[in-house]
Formats: sequence, C-alpha cells, structure tokens
Amino acid sequence: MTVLATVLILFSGSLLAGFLGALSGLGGGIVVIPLLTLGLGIDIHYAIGTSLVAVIATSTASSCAYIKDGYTNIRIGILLETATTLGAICGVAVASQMPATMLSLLFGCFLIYCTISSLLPTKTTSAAFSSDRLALALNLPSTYPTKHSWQGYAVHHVPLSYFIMLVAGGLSGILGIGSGALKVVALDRVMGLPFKVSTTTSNFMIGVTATASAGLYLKMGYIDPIITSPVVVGITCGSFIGARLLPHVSTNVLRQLFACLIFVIGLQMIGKIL
Amino acid sequence: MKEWGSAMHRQTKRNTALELTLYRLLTIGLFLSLLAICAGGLVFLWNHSQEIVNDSLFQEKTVDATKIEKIFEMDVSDRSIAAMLIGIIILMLTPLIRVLSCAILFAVERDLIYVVLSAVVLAVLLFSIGSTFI
Repeated sequence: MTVLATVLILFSGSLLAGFLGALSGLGGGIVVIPLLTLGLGIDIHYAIGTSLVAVIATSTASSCAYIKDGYTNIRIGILLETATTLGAICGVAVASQMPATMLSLLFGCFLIYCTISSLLPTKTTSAAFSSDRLALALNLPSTYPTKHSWQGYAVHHVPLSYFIMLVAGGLSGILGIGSGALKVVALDRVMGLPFKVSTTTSNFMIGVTATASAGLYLKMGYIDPIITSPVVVGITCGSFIGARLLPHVSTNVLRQLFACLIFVIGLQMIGKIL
Repeated sequence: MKEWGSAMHRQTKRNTALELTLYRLLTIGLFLSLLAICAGGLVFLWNHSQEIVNDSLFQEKTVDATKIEKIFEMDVSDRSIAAMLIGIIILMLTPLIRVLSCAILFAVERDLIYVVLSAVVLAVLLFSIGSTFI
C-alpha cells in the first residue's frame, strides 16, 4: 500500500475517532488501535504508541474548549491523576509480564457491565452540601454551567475512585488507551458527578495519563512519525468539531452514545480472545 | 445557604479568569505542535507519496530500548521526519504545561495540598518523558 493511501485512510479514520471521542469523554485511542491493527495490519506496539499520542491530542484539543466553558473540575482531575500516572508507569513496567489476552477479556467484560449500568435510570444530582467529608476537606465539589445559572454538585467515594484510577492508569500503560471509558464511569457512577462534568474532567485526565505512558513508549522507539502524524491531525480536527457540539447536545443522547461505544468496544476486546 | 452559594460562584468566576490563561497556553502549544507535524508531514508526503510503506511496521516487534538520539541518527537526515518528531514531542509536553499551570493556579490560591499533588503528577510526567533523553 502506498504512503499516500495509508495516510488518507489513517486521517479519515482518526477524524471519526476524534469526533466520537470528544463527545463521549473517551480518548479515541480505542478506535485507533483496531483501525491500525485490524484495518491496516500494523504491529500492535506501534499502534499503541500512535494511540497514546492521539489520545494526548484529543485531550488537549477538547480541553481547550471545555476549560473555557467551565465544566471541568481541575481539583478532582489533579487528585486522581496522581493515581493514573503512577498506575501508567507501573502498567508499562508490567506490560511484558502480563498476558494481554487476559487483560482484554477482563476489560471487555467490565465494559459490558458498564454498558448495562449506564443504561439504568439516571440519578438526580445532589446539592453540594451532601458531599462526603473527604471530598469537602479536599475542596472537590464545584459548580457547572447550565442554561440559566451555575449548578452546584456533590462528590462522593473519593478513596474508591482513587483505586479505580490506579487500575485505569495501569490499563493505559498496558493497552495504550487513555482509559477514558473507565474514568467516565468512575466519575459518573462512583463519584456521582454530573455527566458532562465527568466527560470533560475525563478528557482533561486522559491526556496526562497517556503522556505518562507515551514517554516510555517513545524511549522504546514505538512512536513512528509517519503513521502517528496523520492520526494526530485527523483526531484533533475531529475533536474540535465534537467539542464545539457538546454544549448543544442533550445529556441523554451522550449517555446513549457512550453506552453504544463501550458496548462495541467491549465486544471487540472479548472477540480478540475467541 | 444563599451566602455559601454565591461564595462558590465568586470562586468559580475567579477560577475562570485563570483558566482562560491556561486555555490560551494550551492552544498555542497545540498549534505549534500541529504546525510542525503538518509541515513535516506534507513535505514527506510530497516526496514519498507513491512509495510502498515500510515493511518493518507490519512485523512482530520485541521491546527495544532505543534512545531518541538513535532515532534521530536513523531518520533525521530527512528533515520532514525530524519536523514530525518535534511536533509529536511538543504535543507530549502540552499535558505537562497544563499540570504546571494548575500548580501555579493552586499556588496563587494558596491551596497547598493541590500544589503538592500537582508536583507529584509533574514529577511522574517528567520521569516518563525524560527517560528518553537520559
């Protein structure tokens, strides 16, 4: 296949990945890796390297839009990033020891479970004064913009979320994803944040997590500029378009989109083993 | 409760002003990165579009601890590839900028716990990216 053809396929595939990723809080890496490995037959190590850089691009591009809009909760982001980055370093370190198939299976099953739980009836957002003690001590509850005003929200289950983020970071290091799926679920279901705060804060975090992994993949020589460049450009353009649309899309639509995405991803992960 | 509500809103407004600066910094970083990647990419495409893609990408690889100097030795005779790599590295630095900005934000607000937390994240990131250059 010629360079031109490869670049065009990578660019258009990444455009779609970025668009979906920005709307759902995922990094798009989950679409990129199958595109590269199954679609083009590229070795998975290069695919992971490319995916990590692409996730950084999505995260930075989307964050530019979200930080301005005021949805992102930086304190939660930074707090949990201490977990994800450490998890990512450990993840890359143990990547050679652990069978990837086992992880794919576990991850796939977890995503299927997430799909089911995300389709359950939505909880009502509680006011900020009902947050956990630890959350209040760490100054985590905040506000986010709604059509009329700034809406306060509560934060719960900080230690459990922290633990989930350690796992998410580890998975990022091993599978080359931003672990956006896991992060959004943890923020939404466990911490109890409003969905748009979850997705935007996740977007903020996945870039940092991916950088922790990407640095080591760069050292190992697995980031090839020729395949990484069209993917990065494509996914950034897609992300910008997706991020612009976020304030205008209803939360229910986002939830359904997210559920579909992670269900498909879950099936893919399990399907790899069989 | 009404007072508490507006106090939160005031803090949010103050945060938003600082976050705006962060947004500008990130946008500049992203722009520079994409500029380098596109410039390098387009030149490379112009020169090599009809070539068949390098086979080694499709072969099973074992872990190889290649230093970035070696990558430069291999590829950088071609300046377009060097430009793409530089763009990628700048991109990898944008989350670093973001965390650093957060640390500064928290220092301004005298939020010591979060300055420390940001420093931890920063240290891990520097370790990861720096590992290539040591």
